[in-house]
Amino acid sequence: MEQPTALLELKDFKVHFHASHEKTTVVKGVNLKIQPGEILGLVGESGCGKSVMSQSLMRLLEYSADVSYEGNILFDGQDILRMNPQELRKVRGNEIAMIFQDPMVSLNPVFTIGNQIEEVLKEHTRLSKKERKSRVLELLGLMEISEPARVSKQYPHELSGGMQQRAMIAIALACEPKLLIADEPTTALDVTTQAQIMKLLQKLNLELGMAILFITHDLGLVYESCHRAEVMYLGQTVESAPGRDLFELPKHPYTKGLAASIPSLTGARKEKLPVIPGIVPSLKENLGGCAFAKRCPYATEKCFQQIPPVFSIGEGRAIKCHYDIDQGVSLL
Amino acid sequence: MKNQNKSLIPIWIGSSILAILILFAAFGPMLSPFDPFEMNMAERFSPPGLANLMGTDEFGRDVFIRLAYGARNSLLIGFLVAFLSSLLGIVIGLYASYYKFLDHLLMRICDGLSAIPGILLAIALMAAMGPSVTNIVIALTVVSTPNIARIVRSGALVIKKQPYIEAVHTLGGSHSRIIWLNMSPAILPALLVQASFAFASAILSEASLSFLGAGISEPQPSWGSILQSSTHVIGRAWWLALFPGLLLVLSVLGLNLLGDGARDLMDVKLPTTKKGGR
Amino acid sequence: MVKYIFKRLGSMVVILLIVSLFIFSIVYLIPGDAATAVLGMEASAEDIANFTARMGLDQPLWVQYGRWLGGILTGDFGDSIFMRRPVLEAIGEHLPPTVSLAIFAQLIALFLSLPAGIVAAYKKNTALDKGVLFFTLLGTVFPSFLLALFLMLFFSVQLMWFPVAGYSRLENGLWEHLRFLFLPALSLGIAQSALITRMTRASLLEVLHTSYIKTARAKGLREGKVVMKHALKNAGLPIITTIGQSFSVLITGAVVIESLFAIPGIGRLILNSISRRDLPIIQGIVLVVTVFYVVINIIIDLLYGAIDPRVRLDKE
Repeated sequence: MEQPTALLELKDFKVHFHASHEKTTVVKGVNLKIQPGEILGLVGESGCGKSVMSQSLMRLLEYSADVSYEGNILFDGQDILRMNPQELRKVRGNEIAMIFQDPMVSLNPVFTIGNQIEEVLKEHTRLSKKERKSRVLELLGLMEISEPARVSKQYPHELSGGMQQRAMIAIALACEPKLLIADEPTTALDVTTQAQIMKLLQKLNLELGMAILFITHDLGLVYESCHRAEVMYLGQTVESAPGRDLFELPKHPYTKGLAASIPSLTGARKEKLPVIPGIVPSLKENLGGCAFAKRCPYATEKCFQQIPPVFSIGEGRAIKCHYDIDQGVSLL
Repeated sequence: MKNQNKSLIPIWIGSSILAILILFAAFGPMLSPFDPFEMNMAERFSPPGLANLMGTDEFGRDVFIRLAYGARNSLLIGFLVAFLSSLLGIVIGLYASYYKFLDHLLMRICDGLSAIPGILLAIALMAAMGPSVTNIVIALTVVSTPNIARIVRSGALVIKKQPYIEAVHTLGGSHSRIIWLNMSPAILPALLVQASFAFASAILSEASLSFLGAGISEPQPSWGSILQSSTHVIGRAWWLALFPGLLLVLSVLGLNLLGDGARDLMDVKLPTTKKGGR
Repeated sequence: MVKYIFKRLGSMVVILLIVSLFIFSIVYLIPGDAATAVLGMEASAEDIANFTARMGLDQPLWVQYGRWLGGILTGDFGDSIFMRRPVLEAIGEHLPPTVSLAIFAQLIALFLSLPAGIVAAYKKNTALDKGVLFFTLLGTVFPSFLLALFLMLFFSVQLMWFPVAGYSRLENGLWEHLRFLFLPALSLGIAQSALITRMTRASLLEVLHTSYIKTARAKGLREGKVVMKHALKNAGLPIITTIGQSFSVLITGAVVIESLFAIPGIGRLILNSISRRDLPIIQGIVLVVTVFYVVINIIIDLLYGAIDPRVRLDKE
């Protein structure tokens, strides 16, 4: 399945935070690829480093924290980590765009929606003022907003959560980016709106051929909408698989735990929803073996002593585990 | 907890400065063989030296001893103003927070008073009442009380909604018992912080008033009036400006450090209103 | 929005009424008989009777207040006891230097504090930030008249770059006018800027951590635009509030500074009136300055609505 033309490729990507002479590594060597036009899910519990990773793809963290990176972020063959501020600005909002978890706080409260969309166009295109205005209305229409002209003159607080997120997406899509990073875009919304936004994102992916990196903690959403997904645990990816398989046939013990802890709507109601035992270890802990070993029901002596490598198991699937649990065999 | 050692530094510096000033006010006069009122025209404007540590003024009086007596006035006035306005402020603030009908009345009065720039209000009061230490204390207390009352009130409004106050209500505690036994202790840290700022600002205001001739009047010594006398001879007698200025800055700095430090230290325990994040 | 404006104006009227009550009642703080206190022990009985009648001191209190307030509203602030001329006229004459000084000082303050506050917030925890904070601490503890004294000693007495004291009217040329006002305005401005710098830094810091700043960066905007457009407009409210409130500090400072630099402004007038116990003048000044102060703050309140669309709705 190796395709040389990945849109975005992470090579042994690490993010370190520095605070008072202490280094904390939050993203611990991630390798992944996003193909053009693909929706890639990134799943994990809160605190697993998925948000940090997604924000560092455009290097948005370095302003508010003391961070350093290792590895490569290759976008269209160019390394984002080695770009100067000018090159970086050309990518941001133009080639890669991003939407965040809570649209209410992600939109600037003192500017109108129209102004905030237009601003991106002004930065990255040579459209005239009139062309920009009509592009704004076009974008809002694309977001299935019924009265684009009225909404473009409104302030964020005058809109509902769903409308705000649509406006955020309109900002993100203004310059037709090749990749959209969506960091839990539906978490702050109610269930109905959530479904609408997901549908919209899928539609945009199909119509515009824009790749999406979809960050979520919800395996269900991955099942419904992602072509492929990566599971992240403690700053590392532990399993990668097609979106549906991840839910239906999880291989890694951690993914199994995640899938099992989702209540099923069909079938017999279980006595008690299974939970993954234990707590997520601190990022600072230096683990000699598998990061999940402590909480893993299948862990053996080996798991505590050796860091498992990534094994390819079947078509488009890989896990970072010593064993193939289902077969009951060691992968070495 | 991690920051506690760090937060104590300003408090230590602040209280050391304050201690030095108090020692200066208390024992300074004993260290000098001079009389603060004795004029000696032969010794006019003599620069600081072994005889006169901080030089002499336009009447040949020893500046050191006059500054020491001035320190007594400054500290006394500052302390009394801080104490009295805290007392008034806590009464007004607590009752305003507790009874709705008092709230409107008292807070409008405070709004009105604090709408008048402080020094102007003080000047007007002093002009009417005439210059004396007592009147300075009264005038500056009037100026600083509204601010303290408002801070007490906003703190008390938060405390009032705390479950433990409601619990006392349910238990049948009387109003004044709730106000004084249950609510006032919770307000105390904020009040102490504010009092130290009021202390500093009273010292500054007294100096300004005396500088303008509306405060302590000659021949009584005051930092402000010594500074005033320096303005006429600014090129000739720098010590007349430097030493009272230094004392003024030190005392304001010390009290501000004390207040800032105390605030950082106690903030944790104070019930604060959540700032609207979204 | 209209409702909001009316509400603010209503509260302004209430505050000014309370202020007028206070200012009115100051006369009754005079120990003993006001007339004797003002005119002196050697005043004749006739003088005292005249004075009492002129000031309406023989009327019931509320009548006196009504008459006094009525006069104020029609522009009659009474007469100066010492100068035997209308209070408003005397104040009007002394107002221009003070207004010039206040505006000049405020401009200097903004010129110093906004860049300093922005840079300190943006470069948080660097040496630059710490340097700025140290200077704001100095600015807080140094009263403006002390600063003025030292500036005067250095720039006027030692270097002789500026006149030691005095004033030149605007009519005699802007350059001269500003040359005389520079040191007093600088010392006021420095004291003033400490507060504004701190507030700018603090409120900008809060804003720089918000999500919408992250959005602005994700859009590919240059840092200048992120800070100056997206952050500053949001941080603006607390900053301009501070500027409005610090007007009180400015006036306080100006009164003292004027006496130091021999500027014939309101401060000088009030000083002279203190020694003459010319209460009508003092009352008039306090009232005029307070009205200024309250009006400035109301304007700022209304600016809120213009800057932040949320305010317009919240206050309904």
